[in-house]
Amino acid sequence: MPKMNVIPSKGLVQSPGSGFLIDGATVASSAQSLDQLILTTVLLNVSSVSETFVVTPHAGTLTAVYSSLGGAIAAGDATLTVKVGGSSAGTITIANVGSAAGDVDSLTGLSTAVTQASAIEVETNGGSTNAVSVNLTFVIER
Amino acid sequence: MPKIDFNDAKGVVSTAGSGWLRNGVEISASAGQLDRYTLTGKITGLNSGGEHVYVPVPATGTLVAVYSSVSGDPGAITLIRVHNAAGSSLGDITIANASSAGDVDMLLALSSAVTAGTYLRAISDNGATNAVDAYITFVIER
Repeated sequence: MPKMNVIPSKGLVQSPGSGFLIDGATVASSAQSLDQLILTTVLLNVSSVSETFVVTPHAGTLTAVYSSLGGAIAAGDATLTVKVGGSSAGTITIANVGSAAGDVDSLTGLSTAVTQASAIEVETNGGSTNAVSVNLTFVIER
Repeated sequence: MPKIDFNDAKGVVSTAGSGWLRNGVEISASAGQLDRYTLTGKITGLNSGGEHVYVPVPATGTLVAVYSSVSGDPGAITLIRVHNAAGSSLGDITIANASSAGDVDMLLALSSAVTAGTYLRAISDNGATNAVDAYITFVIER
């Protein structure tokens, strides 16, 4: 298994070992990771029917969405609907029982095409009480 | 000094020059830069007790730096403490009194493991006397 090292002064240098390096430093990321684009946004009040948007600067495939709660919610679960092009790509349910700041929920295994300069929308049904924010992280593969 | 082009039509092409390219376009990022991704969040009201932001982490890696940018003069020295999902403090960013809007402060040389599906937290120590916000950027290396 050769180690592939792209060295500006020498070009592509192969030596015993493994891995892909640039100028002697290993690139640890997989091809899939290098293809990923991470976007973030925030929903200011998960307990009030509302939505937030984030614009994708590249076309690709939305593969995952993560949410992190800013504080405890009560009375009912909050459901977040992720929409691409106006259509639902899936939902995230944030449970109110035992909820606390920092709770992370996710929608993974997605394979939803997104186009350049289009908006991804996340909408809350406002099913909970307590005006707390939810931070959102999106993973897009180019 | 060869220039190495990973070319879809031709394979690995070595020509005079330096650097590495993908289909004729130079990739200037270092190995470390290719391995990095960033997350962002906002702390609203640095003068309010315990204002914080939780940002969901989509991919496992190492937190290497955190940056903040204030929206105005906090009126007093303000600390932004960074926590991992285990609740451990990873250090403080100090925002000086009389800072101006857009001033950037940072916490560098971090080496803290973060796990996909958890969160990173930044919280104000409530030192500010003015209602200004902080925009936070986390840098994670895979």
